[in-house]
Amino acid sequence: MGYLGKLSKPYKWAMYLLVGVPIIIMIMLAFTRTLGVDFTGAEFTLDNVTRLNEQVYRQAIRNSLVLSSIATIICFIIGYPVAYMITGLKDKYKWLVLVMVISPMWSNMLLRIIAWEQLFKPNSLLNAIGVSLDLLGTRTAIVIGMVSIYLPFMIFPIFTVLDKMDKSLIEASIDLGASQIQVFTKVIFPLSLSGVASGVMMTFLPSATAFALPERLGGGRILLIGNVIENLFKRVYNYNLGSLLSIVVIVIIFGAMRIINRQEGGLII
Amino acid sequence: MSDLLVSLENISKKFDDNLVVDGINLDVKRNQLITLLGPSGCGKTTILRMIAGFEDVTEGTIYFEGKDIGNIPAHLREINTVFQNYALFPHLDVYENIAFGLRLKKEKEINIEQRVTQVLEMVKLDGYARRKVNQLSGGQQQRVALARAIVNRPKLLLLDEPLSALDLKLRQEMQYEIKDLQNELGITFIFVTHDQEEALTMSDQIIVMNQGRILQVGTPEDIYNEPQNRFVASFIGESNIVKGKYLGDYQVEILGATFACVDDYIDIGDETEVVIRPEDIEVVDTSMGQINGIVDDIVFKGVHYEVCVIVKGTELIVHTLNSPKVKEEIGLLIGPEAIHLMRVE
Repeated sequence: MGYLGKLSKPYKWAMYLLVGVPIIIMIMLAFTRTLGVDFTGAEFTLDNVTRLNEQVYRQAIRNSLVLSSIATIICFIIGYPVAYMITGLKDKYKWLVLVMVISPMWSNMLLRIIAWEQLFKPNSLLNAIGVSLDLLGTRTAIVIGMVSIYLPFMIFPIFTVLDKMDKSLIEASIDLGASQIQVFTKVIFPLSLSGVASGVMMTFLPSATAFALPERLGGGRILLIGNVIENLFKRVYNYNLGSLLSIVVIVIIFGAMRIINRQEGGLII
Repeated sequence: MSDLLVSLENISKKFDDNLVVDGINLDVKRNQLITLLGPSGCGKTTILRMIAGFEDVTEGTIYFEGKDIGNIPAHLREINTVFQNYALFPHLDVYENIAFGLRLKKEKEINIEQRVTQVLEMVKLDGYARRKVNQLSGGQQQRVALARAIVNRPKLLLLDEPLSALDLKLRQEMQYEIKDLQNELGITFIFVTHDQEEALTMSDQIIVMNQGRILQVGTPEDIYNEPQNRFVASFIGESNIVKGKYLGDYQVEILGATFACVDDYIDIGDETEVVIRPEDIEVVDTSMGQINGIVDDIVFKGVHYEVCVIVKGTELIVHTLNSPKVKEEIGLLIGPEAIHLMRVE
């Protein structure tokens, strides 16, 4: 470890502290009965674990996983061709299109969610052109919201990998007799999987844990795990169950990442 | 079957307005190792890429076995390439890299296995089949790249400076191996390099290029001993190039003295440029020298000393086994065979 390594030490300890301590507190909360974070007189209990099996929590976890998976798949289906197309552009157009992809991210996410909310209402701006989407409170609305917000996070990592790809590999495959389609299926696509894996994580993780988005677009009718946890902490003040659910989400997400990473030979994280 | 494998007819290539290859004519026979030799940017790689089909030809025609291949896309040409940076597929292991072309041709699994095993043996990589390519050394990657190309049994193998990334010792080893491989396989290799030593060691025929043109075609001996112009002479090996005047009757005047020579295609009384290889000059006692000079500098080169001698204000480089002393006056002998005349450009 050199000079810079020593400089990084305070940050390392800050990280341990700010990540490790809350997690330890969460674990302690999850298996006790307390008032808020007041541990006086707390006792060990597995009550929260049994409550996990209640319909509302199972449904919320299922909603989160299903909707964010659908959103991720749609992001991939739209994002991959877009990233591929951008790679093929001349430099000046390339940066123009990339800026177009990024620019929505310059406006506040909450603002964009509210914009969708307005459009999804039965009476919206779109009535002017004779359209009434009336999607508020549907799964479709949530998925559309997730795709629109997280699509750039799918496009970028895939674009980066495709753009950096050694063009001589493509020539080598052509040289060995690969047609255009075979060049894609045998070389370009397998080599871009690391970008796909990052993209999948960067869209799946935030959409699986989203709470503002389902709250506005779900119209209170569809609960995702993020909403449930938020409710437990902010309205019901059941920190114990809230912590346990958070831990469950973390475990599920880590499991998903492990699976994606295994596919990719451990290229990410 | 005609002896001729590839013919380039009046090939030119322009990138935007930049003429990279300028009206090249070239015939390549079967079962030979041909080297395209020239400094970087001379158009040699572009020629290779046009033969492989990666670049369109701006003008001219490429014939492969007598047929114009201008309209045949790269993936259908019976030509394989060994790329400069090897271009091995990082997502596949050694075996799958080599089997890549065979799998595309839908060969039977048993044939694939047999052929891959055979070429792995040929390039001395048996036992490496299941290694990841990024775990291999540069030399091993080079061998995989070779194996991946020859396993397809192409009629023509193109090698684009395949050894430039290797260190000297490994490079020399691979030069012999590639030459052996070419003999063994009996297919034509076109080898691109900027390393004149490599070209001399490996080639059946060398094509010396500069600025998009072919300057000389010949065997390594021809190119070395009979360079046709100043560029070839200075690019291939070390040489002294001095001005002279042809006196007729196999006599040439250089550095104020008259020497016998074996060339006589220069008009009598014409200026000529004379190429003398440093190893062809003999150091003798001043009383026996055809010309005398003062030793200016001596560098030990291992096998020989490289001596810089000033003769009448002109520097001559001489290779000798015995070291003279700096500032010493020595005599020099240059035999008729060592004197090669070139027309002044």
